[in-house]
Amino acid sequence: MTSGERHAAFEQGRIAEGTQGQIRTAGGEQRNRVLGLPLHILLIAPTFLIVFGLLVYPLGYAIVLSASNKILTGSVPFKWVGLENYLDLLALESEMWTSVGVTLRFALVGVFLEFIIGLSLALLLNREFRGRTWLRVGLLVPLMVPPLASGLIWRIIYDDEFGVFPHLIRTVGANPPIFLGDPDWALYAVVATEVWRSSPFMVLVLLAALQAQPVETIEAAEVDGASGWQVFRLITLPFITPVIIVALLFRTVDALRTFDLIFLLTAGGPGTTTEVISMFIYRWGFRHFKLGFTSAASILLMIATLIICIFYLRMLVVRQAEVQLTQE
Amino acid sequence: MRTANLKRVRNIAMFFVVAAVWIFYFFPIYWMVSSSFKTRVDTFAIPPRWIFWPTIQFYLTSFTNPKFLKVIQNSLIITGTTVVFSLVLGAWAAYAFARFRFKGSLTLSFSLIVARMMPPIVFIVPLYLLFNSLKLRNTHIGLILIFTVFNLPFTVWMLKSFFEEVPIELEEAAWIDGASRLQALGRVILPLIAPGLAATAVFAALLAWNEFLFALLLGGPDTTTLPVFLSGFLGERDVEWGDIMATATVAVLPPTLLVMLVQQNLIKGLTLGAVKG
Repeated sequence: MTSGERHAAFEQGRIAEGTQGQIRTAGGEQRNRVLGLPLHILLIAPTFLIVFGLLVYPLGYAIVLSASNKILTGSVPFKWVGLENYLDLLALESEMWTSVGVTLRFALVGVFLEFIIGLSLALLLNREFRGRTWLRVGLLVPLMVPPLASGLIWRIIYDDEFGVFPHLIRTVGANPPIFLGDPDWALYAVVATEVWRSSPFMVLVLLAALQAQPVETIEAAEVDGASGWQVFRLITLPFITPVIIVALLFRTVDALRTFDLIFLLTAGGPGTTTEVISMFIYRWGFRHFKLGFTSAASILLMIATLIICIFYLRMLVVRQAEVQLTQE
Repeated sequence: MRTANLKRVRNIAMFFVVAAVWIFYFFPIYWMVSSSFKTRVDTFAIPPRWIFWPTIQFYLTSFTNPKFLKVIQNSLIITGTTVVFSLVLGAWAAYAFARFRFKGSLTLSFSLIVARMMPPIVFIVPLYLLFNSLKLRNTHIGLILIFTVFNLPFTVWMLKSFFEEVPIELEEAAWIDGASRLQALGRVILPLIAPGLAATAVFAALLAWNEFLFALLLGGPDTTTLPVFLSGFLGERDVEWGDIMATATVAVLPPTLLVMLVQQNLIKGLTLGAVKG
């Protein structure tokens, strides 16, 4: 008997007890236990133990710390300060708001550009042309460059003495700004680097969604006389919207966590014009060593990230509910 | 006649668009690699030199520098062990989530996604203090543990989506042949999803290889990884760009080539299985 036949026999109840009595019960109650414990608990236990130990516990620790004035190299006596750190952070004149503004500009401009470029290139790559596969695979390269190395690469490209980019601007007769040193330009120079590195993510994810679209619906619409734009707006766009939301969610939370790139490109400068929230936390924690204050900022960042996640996930849920309604 | 002309115009326009895309995405990579072959004089030349006599001096000095070799060794040890840990733990948890329905399974699996969304900097202060008191700072195992934790959400979700693609009947057949659940997992399911496992491994490796924040703040002189080593160059007084770019090329190109090998499963990895590629 092959295993398939035996399986069929088992399903029909012809084998109550298998060869050599190895099948204990049909429902596999026995099979799902190891050493008397439910197998699934044993399987997830290691993952959640280490996640608990290294993420959840530290988070609790951070909440406790955030109510203290703890300093790393303690010359100030430790004391509990209650919500003082939070009040300092949220006060109108707080430096945190500058950093929040920088982070939002960085994330919104960056993700918006990535989305526009991503969607256009995905639509381009969804057509037939020579060299399409090469371009698709080639787009992986910037995506795989660590943010740190991309910071280094763009530093030599932007360099105001020997950089290629300022040189090209000079050749066309204009006077280039000092990209990473000019408060008006630095943030956008950083955004450009981020767009270069991360827009391939948008391209590839949106392309995957476009290619999953059934050809029949498009053909049917074309037979009915729909224009290319109508097909895109009324058929393609609704179809790929859930994927767009997922892609935007991932890119937004990644933009909010950006650290390496800015650490290398500008270290938050000039002044604090490119100091995103991660750099702000790094500076207060590891330059000024005010750990209590920094913990409070971390907790606020965590809450903000959660709110953004919930916002996108709700969009996704609402969207799916709409699709179900229209289908009914 | 007119349509033929229109088609030619469109083809030419298409050519220019595609060329512009290539230049935008590839020029920086080309510049990194070419700068690593430029002498100091060529690097600082104004205007920038497009044609130059290549030198491999920076690769020679790097690969004969014991400090650099130690850094490569650290990166390889930490990345390799992290991959093994995250794959083994991840596969167990992913299998449980894919094949068992139990109370709280949805909450637990989604809590991993929340962990993936959190900015790592949120955890840095408490982890720094924790690592100090546990004497885990500046140790390989410390970095391996923390890299594994940040890898797990994505290995679990990626593997879960691969497990779900395997028909349950295959497993049941193995049980009937007398295999236990874990035996069936090891001998039937894992071989079936080998390509998925490989893709997950490559991704886990890439994340660990590129990680910077924790390697910088929780690591130390004994655990310097490639990214930390790279960032150290800029603190020096006389920045040697050829050296930096040679090191960056060594840090970037091998993992990139590895990813190319598993690129069919790439999208799934990038989105924790939310989008199939």
